Amino acid sequence: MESSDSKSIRKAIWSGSIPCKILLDPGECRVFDDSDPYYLTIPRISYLPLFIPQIYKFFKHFLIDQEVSKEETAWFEFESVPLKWHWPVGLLYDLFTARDPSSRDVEDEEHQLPWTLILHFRDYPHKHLMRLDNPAACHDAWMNLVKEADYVRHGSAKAVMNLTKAESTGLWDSLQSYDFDKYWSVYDKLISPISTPTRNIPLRVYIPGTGSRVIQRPVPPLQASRDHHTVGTALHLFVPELFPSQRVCVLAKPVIHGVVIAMGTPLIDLMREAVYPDGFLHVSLAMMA
Amino acid sequence: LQHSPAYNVPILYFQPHTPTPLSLADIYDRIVPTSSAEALRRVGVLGAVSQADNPAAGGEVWWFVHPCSTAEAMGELRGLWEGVKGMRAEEWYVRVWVGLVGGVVGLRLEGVGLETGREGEGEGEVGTEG
Repeated sequence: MESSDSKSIRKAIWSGSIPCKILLDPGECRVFDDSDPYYLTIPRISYLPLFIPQIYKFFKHFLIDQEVSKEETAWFEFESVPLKWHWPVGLLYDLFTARDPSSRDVEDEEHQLPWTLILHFRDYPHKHLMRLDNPAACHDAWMNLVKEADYVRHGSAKAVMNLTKAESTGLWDSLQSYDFDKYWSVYDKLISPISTPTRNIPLRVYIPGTGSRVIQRPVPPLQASRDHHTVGTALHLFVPELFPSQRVCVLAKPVIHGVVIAMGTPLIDLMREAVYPDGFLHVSLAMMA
Repeated sequence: LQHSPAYNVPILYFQPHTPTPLSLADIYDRIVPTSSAEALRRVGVLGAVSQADNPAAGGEVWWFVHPCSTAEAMGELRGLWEGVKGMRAEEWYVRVWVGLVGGVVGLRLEGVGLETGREGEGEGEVGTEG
C-alpha cells in the first residue's frame, strides 16, 4: 500500500550517491608517491566491499607485492579512521564528515567532496573491521541486519525466512545491480505484511566522535499516550544529553541519507519511506556549531 | 554477555587472545567442541558463529553466537521449567541458556542437564574446553 509520495521518496533515496576519490597508501605503492587516484561514485545505500574488485583492478599494477596485497585484505581509511565496511556508504559519509546538511557554508562543501579515502592492504585493523576473507561476508552481514530488522518489526524473523530462495537471492542481487524496482518488489512484502502490525521500529543512532557510539533500543510506533513516537521523542529517549527537547534541536541534528530529519516526523512513516536496504533506519547526528 | 535490544535475549560475545587473528575456520577447529555440536544439534539451536561490533567494547569487533533461534528455542523448552521444583525461573533460564548457547563454544555448567537445567542430568564436564 505505497502511495506515489512514498515511492518518489524511496526513489530519491535510492538515487543518492557519494562521489569518491580513492588514493593508495603511498607506503604500499611501487612507484613511490605516484599512483593515480581512482574516482568512482558509490550509491549511498551500497557497501564498500561491492566496489573492491574494480578498485583493486585499478591499483594492482601499483602494488609492491600482489601476493600479499589481495582484495580480501583491502580496507579504507578516512582521516585515520578505518571504515566499517558493513555500514552503508551514505551512513559512513554523513557520520565521519559530520557535516550539517542544512549549513550554507560553500567552503565546507568544497572541502568534503569528492570524499577522499585512503586504500590499504597491510596491517588490517582486526579490532575495528570484520574479516572479508569469506566471499559471502558482505552478503551475510547485510542478511543478518535484514533478519534483525524483521525481528524488531514483528517479534520474529519469519517473514524473511519465508521468502523463497529466488526472492532472497533477488534482494541481494538487486542491491548489487542497483535495481530499485526489483528490490522493492520483494522488500515491500517484508515491511508491510498485512496481518502483522509493527511492534518496534528498527532504528540505530550513531553518535559522532571517537569510538562511534551506536545506540539501539526497542521503540514502538506509538507511545503509551497513543501519540506517535517521532524522531524527537526517540532521540530524547536514546540520547537525552544531546536531545533535551523532544521537539527542538539544541545540540545536534538527526541526519539520514544526507538530509536533516524534522524532529516531528513519526517513526512509522520514516520507516516506510526511508529505511536502508537492510531494513534499518541508520540515523547519524550532526553536532550544531 | 550482552543483552540484545533487538532479540531480547542474552548474546554471548567472545574474543580469542591469539598472536594472530583467527579466521572462522580456525574458530570452528579450535573453539567449538565436537561433543557439544552433537548435543546441540538434537535441540536444534546450533547458532552460527560470526563477527559483530561489540557495543560493550566500544564497537570493537568480537565473535558472537547468533541469537536468531535462541528466543524460539528457550520458548519451546519453557514447559520443562514447570517440572523443576524449587528453582526460580531466572536461574533455570540461565542454566539452560548456558547449555544451549555456551555449549557452542565449550562453556558448560558442571553436572547440569542441557535441556532441563536440572542437576544431575549433565555429562559431568567442567568449565571451558580447548
